[in-house]
Amino acid sequence: MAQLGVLKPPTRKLDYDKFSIVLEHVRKSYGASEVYSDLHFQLLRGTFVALMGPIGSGKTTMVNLFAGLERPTAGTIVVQGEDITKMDTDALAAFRAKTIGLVPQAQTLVPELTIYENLELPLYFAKVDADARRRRVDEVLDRVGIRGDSDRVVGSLSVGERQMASFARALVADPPILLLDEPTEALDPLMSDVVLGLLRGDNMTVGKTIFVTTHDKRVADLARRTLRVNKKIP
Amino acid sequence: MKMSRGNMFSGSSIVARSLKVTRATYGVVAIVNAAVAANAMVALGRIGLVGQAVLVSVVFVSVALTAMAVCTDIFNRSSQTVANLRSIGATTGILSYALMFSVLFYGLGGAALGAFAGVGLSAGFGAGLAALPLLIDVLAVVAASCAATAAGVYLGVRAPWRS
Repeated sequence: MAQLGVLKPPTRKLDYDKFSIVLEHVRKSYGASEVYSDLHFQLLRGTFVALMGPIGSGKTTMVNLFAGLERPTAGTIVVQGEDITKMDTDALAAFRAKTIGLVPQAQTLVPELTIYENLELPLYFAKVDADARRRRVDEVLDRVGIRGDSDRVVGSLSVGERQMASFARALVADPPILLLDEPTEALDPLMSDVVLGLLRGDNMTVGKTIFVTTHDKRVADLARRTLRVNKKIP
Repeated sequence: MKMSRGNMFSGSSIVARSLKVTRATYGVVAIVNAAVAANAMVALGRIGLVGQAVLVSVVFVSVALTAMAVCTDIFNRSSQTVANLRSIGATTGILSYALMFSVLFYGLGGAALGAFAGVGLSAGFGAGLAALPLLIDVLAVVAASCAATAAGVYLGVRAPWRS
């Protein structure tokens, strides 16, 4: 396993087109608490990398930085060749709609809407027309195995069912990058197997860049490379 | 409320429902627009040109402030939802459009109903009803209400969602 702390700055200028995500001299702090001091990181396009580490070691912060949900205190983050640290809030949101499928650790589905409607939202934001939205949502619901629950309101679902819906929502816009923050944490063995099957190289995920934070060794074993953070943030 | 799948307005309706815009919200907008328009129509037939201009301005300000207050309330109730929607790609423009479209639709309906109710009330109060001036008054009141609703929604959503 590689150690996150030993990642060094590149010795020559990077060809950003080869990488889905590049971090250069990234510093992230919350007040006096510093999560990353001078982080360099490159994620090749089409690779699957897992990040393991204890709770409170900054794994979710890293996912949020990749997705542009949090800004670095200093440094540059380039995603699919675009410097997201220079984008304003709206440009970032529009970029995310087409580039990143996110399964966050915290619940972000809209509880008042059905699973179907929640899956339709990213496609609407990506300006996909209504017929194509319907076809794609049906396809993903079938593949993830939650078609039968599609008319259920999210507020009535169990934590595991919500997690599966969240996973389906991340896939629906067919983004080149998937960022998954503890995707199997709340799932029962049957649901976990579905997610593992999709991550193992299903049509829905093949060719995508996947970055996953996890405590689940089965998920980490699927990754081409596993990184580990050992320290908790003081 | 069950949404039909894939119709051309479903996307903005789903966004509006995500923001917890309910029938009650639409009802408030429609009723305020109708009440203001009806009163304005009755008064317009009884005052001169300057008075009419002032009255249309009052209509505009009243409706705009109502729409702005409604949208600010929606934002305050839904700030976490806005953040969640942004995380999956919602821009200020898309969110504003969804809110603008739905609120404006009910605002227009309320203003039109109120204007025609005002014409009926004027007739009931014995005012003379010449067709052309009456039509101009109705159009002026409905147009002022719609423009005011749009302005109010814009002011109500733009500043807080940008932050």
